[in-house]
Amino acid sequence: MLIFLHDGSSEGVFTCVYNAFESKDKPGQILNADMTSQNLLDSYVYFAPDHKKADQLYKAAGCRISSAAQDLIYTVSLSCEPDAGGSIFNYLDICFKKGTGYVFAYGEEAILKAWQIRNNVMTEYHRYLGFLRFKKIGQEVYYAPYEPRNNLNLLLAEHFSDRMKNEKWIIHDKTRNKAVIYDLEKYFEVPFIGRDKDSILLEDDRFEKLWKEFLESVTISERTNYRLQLNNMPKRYRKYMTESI
Amino acid sequence: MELLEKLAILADAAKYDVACTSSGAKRSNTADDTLGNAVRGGICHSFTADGRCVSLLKILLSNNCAYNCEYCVNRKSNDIKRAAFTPREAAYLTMEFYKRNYIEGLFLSSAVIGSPDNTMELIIKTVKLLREDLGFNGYIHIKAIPGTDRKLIEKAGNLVDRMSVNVELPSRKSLLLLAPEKKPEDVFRPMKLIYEGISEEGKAVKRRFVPAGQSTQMIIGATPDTDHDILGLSEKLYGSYKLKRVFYSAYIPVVQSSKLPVVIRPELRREHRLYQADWLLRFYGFKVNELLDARSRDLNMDLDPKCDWAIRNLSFFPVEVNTADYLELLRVPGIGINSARKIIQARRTHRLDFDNLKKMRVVMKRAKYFITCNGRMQKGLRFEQEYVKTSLLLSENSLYEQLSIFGDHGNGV
Repeated sequence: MLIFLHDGSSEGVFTCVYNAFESKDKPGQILNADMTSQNLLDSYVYFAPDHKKADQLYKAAGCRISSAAQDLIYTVSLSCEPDAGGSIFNYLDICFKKGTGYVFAYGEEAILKAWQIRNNVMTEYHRYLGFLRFKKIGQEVYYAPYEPRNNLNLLLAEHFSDRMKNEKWIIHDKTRNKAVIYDLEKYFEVPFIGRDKDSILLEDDRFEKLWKEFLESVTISERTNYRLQLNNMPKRYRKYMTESI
Repeated sequence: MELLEKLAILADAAKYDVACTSSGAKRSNTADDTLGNAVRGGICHSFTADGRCVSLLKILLSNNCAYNCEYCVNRKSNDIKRAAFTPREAAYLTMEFYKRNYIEGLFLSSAVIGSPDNTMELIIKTVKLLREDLGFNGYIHIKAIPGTDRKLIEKAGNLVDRMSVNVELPSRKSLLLLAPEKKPEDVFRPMKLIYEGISEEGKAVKRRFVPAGQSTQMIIGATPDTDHDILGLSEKLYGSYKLKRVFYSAYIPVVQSSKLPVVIRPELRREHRLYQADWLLRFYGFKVNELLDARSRDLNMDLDPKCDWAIRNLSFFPVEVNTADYLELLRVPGIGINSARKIIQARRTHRLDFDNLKKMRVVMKRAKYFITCNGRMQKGLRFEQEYVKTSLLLSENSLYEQLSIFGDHGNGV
């Protein structure tokens, strides 16, 4: 089987999908190079992100299909699903051929699959909107480490650059070791270079204590229901949450 | 008193107010020097050990109350520790919590400090401090204290996202018995004022008077009021005052009183069923009189209200998934708002079968009794009232142990 490889960025994924449309030999899968251990039977081609091609694909989805399709492929490109790129290709392939009416054609396996991947990303994103925790480091920077499954840095940055416009902050994806930094004007993503993963020693903040006290006090003990709590706030989100540490 | 101790007392005193949601307002942060925005669907920031969502910093300004309502833990004659925040302290906590992404904003209520007007003025002072001095643009929900002057309600409404007045008890009789100082008029007058403020603003292009609308809360199980009484009042409030939400709170005995029932366990299942029914009223086009009638004044505890209605109205079914309109689809147990919308989108290009529905996450274990796909019911099922009822009861009751469904109103962001 022919497999296309990318670097995990949206631009990389889109470049592969673009090349899949251009190439005579269609890839069986489109995977992240870092997550793939290559075997002897399959053949692999790596494509470096190409801004022009990625942009062209994204725009084509918008004008030839719809803005819903455009949003969908961007969100799917952030997914941790191994063959998310393949899903984007299959989705666009159907919509390009059959038209705008197929954007929500859930009766079609490939269309449904793409929407399900998109929904998974959005669920995790929405949860982190609430569960992300900032700590004040130094005098003026707020720092939020987290370990998402999907590539959420840029989505979250969009939200917080509006909400916390007048504060400096860093959101650190520890899964990919990449950080978005906001400097009061714009945000940008960079590889996180630290001496050691946990070398940032965080001072004990008095508001952490107040927050924990608040949560204790606002709980109705007669209604204790840990299972409901677990359903609503799964364990994997709690690692960096002030109240769970 | 230390801030930590105050917070413990005044959060504890606020915990029975269940309306901790941050929904209904959408606002981006347009100025350069302000903090915060609002997201239409609201955001849950944490979940406490009772499984309830925490979205707002929910506190009382003071628990030192001039009133003596029987059911209330803050009643004047109750021997508890009293505390009060200064407006500055409450505003400061809100700002610092918000910057750490602990909360969506502030939910501020208070015991009656001297008089209703005085209390309202202190609440307004806190909110003004946040909005005007500190540049806080996040979500604010405040209580309108019953008996407050009209001018103060108007002033407050222009500063906050949501304002609410608690009905507390669903009938005049119950209110007179348990909260003699709170006259029904005192509750409905501010509600009406808020409603009028909203209607007035509705004509303007950009609405600023309580953009997220108003809500209220009722206590369940402290009085003999039936579910029909409760939901009937909710229906009226949604209709005549255009309320956004009515919250239901299973009564938990916090004080001893000869006027109050002895409750061993809070009626959590009843509360859950009321929320389900409430959802049917607001989003599914049901009327109270369809769900309950003169013979059954209370909701079925063993089946959810939609299943219960469907079994009693089998003549409405089966619904053909490929042709039914949106409202008909919504009446099918197992098909919610999302599934109904997805079905309508999907059938533009495909005729749907049972397998498609299952993959689209329709809850088939309930829906299968009430639908046809391309004219056929699923094989092996009988379309008879007793059979459907027994089957549903069996599958629901095995679920009781597995699912902790109670109190899911806490999700109500």
